[in-house]
Amino acid sequence: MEKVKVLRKYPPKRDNILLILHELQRLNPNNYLTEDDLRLVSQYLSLPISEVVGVATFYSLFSLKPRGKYLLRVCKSPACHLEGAVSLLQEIKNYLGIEEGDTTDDGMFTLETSECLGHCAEAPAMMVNDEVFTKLSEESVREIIDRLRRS
Amino acid sequence: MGKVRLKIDGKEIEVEEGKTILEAAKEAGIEIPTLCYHEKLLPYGACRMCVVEAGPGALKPACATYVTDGMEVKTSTPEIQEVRMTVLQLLFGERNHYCMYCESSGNCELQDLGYKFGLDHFEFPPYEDKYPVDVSHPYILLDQNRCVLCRRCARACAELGGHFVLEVKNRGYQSLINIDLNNQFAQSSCVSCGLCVQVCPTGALVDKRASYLGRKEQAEVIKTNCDRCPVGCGIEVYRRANFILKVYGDWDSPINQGVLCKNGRYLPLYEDRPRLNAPKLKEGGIWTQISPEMAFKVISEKKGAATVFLEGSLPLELLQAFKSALGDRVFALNEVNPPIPSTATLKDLEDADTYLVVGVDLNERYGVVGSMIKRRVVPQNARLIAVEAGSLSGITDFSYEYKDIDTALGEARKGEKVVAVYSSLPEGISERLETESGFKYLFLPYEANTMALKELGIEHKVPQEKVKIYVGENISSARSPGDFIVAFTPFETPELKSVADLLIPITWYLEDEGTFITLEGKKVVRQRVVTPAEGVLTVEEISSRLLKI
Repeated sequence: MEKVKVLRKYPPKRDNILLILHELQRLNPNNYLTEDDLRLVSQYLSLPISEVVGVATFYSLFSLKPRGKYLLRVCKSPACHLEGAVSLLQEIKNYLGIEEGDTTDDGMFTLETSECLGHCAEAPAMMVNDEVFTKLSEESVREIIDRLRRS
Repeated sequence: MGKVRLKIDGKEIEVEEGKTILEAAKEAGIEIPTLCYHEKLLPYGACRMCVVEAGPGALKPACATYVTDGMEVKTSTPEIQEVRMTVLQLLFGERNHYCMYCESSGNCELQDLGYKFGLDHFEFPPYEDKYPVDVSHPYILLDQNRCVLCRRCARACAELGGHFVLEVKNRGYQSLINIDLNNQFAQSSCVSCGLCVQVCPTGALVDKRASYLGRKEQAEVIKTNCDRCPVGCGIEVYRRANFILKVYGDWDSPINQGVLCKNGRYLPLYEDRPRLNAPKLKEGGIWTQISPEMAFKVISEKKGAATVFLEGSLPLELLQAFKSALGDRVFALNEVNPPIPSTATLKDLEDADTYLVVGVDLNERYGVVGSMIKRRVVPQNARLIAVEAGSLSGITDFSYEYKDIDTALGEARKGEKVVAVYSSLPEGISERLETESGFKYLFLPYEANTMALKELGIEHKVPQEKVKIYVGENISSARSPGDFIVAFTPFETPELKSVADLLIPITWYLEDEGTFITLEGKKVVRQRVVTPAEGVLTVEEISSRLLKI
């Protein structure tokens, strides 16, 4: 099984929990950690399940809910905030018809916010999966979403 | 260990190296306010109430900063007080800390700090978000709205209880106390030891049964020992009028250091078998209430033919009374002798590297012994070899059935300090186990006072006689024609009434003083905390009446 292969790549040490969780999440077509994944990690690393849940929920890059094909992370740090991140976020919410943390019914988009993406000079910024988009406007985010939908 | 000299609020003091500022200040008689700190838990530094000035840079948490030589500490400058005040204001504003509706009001460390700092308004807009409340546990209520995220519950659950059920999930203000995977006590691996409730500083975790029945000031706290099993844990019993509100573990007890189990903390308070409040005699199938004189007259008449069977749950004094009245016709109802005698004490559990637990589920029975083992096994400071140990097998990779005893022993032998822990053992297993030369053995006696039966030389025997006198709380008996069955018992259950001829009420649990001999052979006293109902015969009354028969 693929998941077991992932585990075996790492020695069963507590320190490896983040690496393992990341790989398991990547393996999932819906980009999230299932309860089974958490149990598996708990058993493999001999950690209490409560601790694994604690770690998986502490870091915002992990999700315990199924997520869309595209993960939109809008930066909410001060520079982006001053450049209109709030109305940008509202525009995306309206355009996709979802709230922060939710996924569209077609399973295409999940909307999240994030801490600083390191693109303050080009604020406001947003990350879509591993790609960063900067100097966003309400029009440009609509365009980005449309393009992703067509692809 | 070396000494360290430092100044706290201008006072020159000398303390041992490795102490925290908080401990050093306590020694010097200087009080520093705390909230997340708990004496029995590792420093955590979550709440920032204990911040002090110690050298250049930011304020430091006194609970988590170690003293260094020449350190100059200030504990209550105006700046420090202001920071603490802000911390308190933030804490009060974050969740539901409207004290008047809280069960813990009057017994709350957060509220105490509020009064201490003279909080008279909300500096920040008070809470709007609603957090979950979990009522699914039979004994415990968890209200996340009253939580200050001190994590004492999770730390106690792990560090002291060894259960590792509670943790914190999410981050920041969205943090919640998490239970296993599902965030609900129901269906979790919680063993109901109640430690989390005992350490919670606010009303986030409360005892369902004791709720709204009285605060600490209205109750008397009586320190005594638990009689539910042979561990003999120290307990603090909260009594209001003639009612037990709750039972807490005694932090000062050398046996359990505050830890308790479900059997010690909750089960006796939820006892619902009907109590027997007067002697009753069955004649022609009909039960009639009789006087104690009458009851003992009947016993006196049957004395010549009677054999007594004592349960190991009874106090030493009562066992002695029957022994001296009826001598060699007194037996133990249940097994007394250990399969292998103890060579270890509870202290040996503290530094063992391997535990071999055979045939007993320490999550269900002897829970405090379970905690002592689990809190070292789960963080991988020691190994657990579980042989038919029920739910304990869930925390170890070394879980075996009896048929694999040789593999289990082989695994255990890899340890340097091995303690075998067991109660009754099936035939064949004890023989295999006792030949191990390098092991220490910790026998968990079958009942709370099995060791007293042993000391009095009372042997176990299967009841076969015609006239039987049973003494204890869990009596069941077969009956054949011509039998006469007497039971000295606290409970009149339908099953017992269907077989017995004479029932005599005795005291139960904290209704009577009595001596118990623990699994380590120590004598501990269970005190009388509540007065028994009228008609119930105390140990003293029974003893004096037995002398006269």
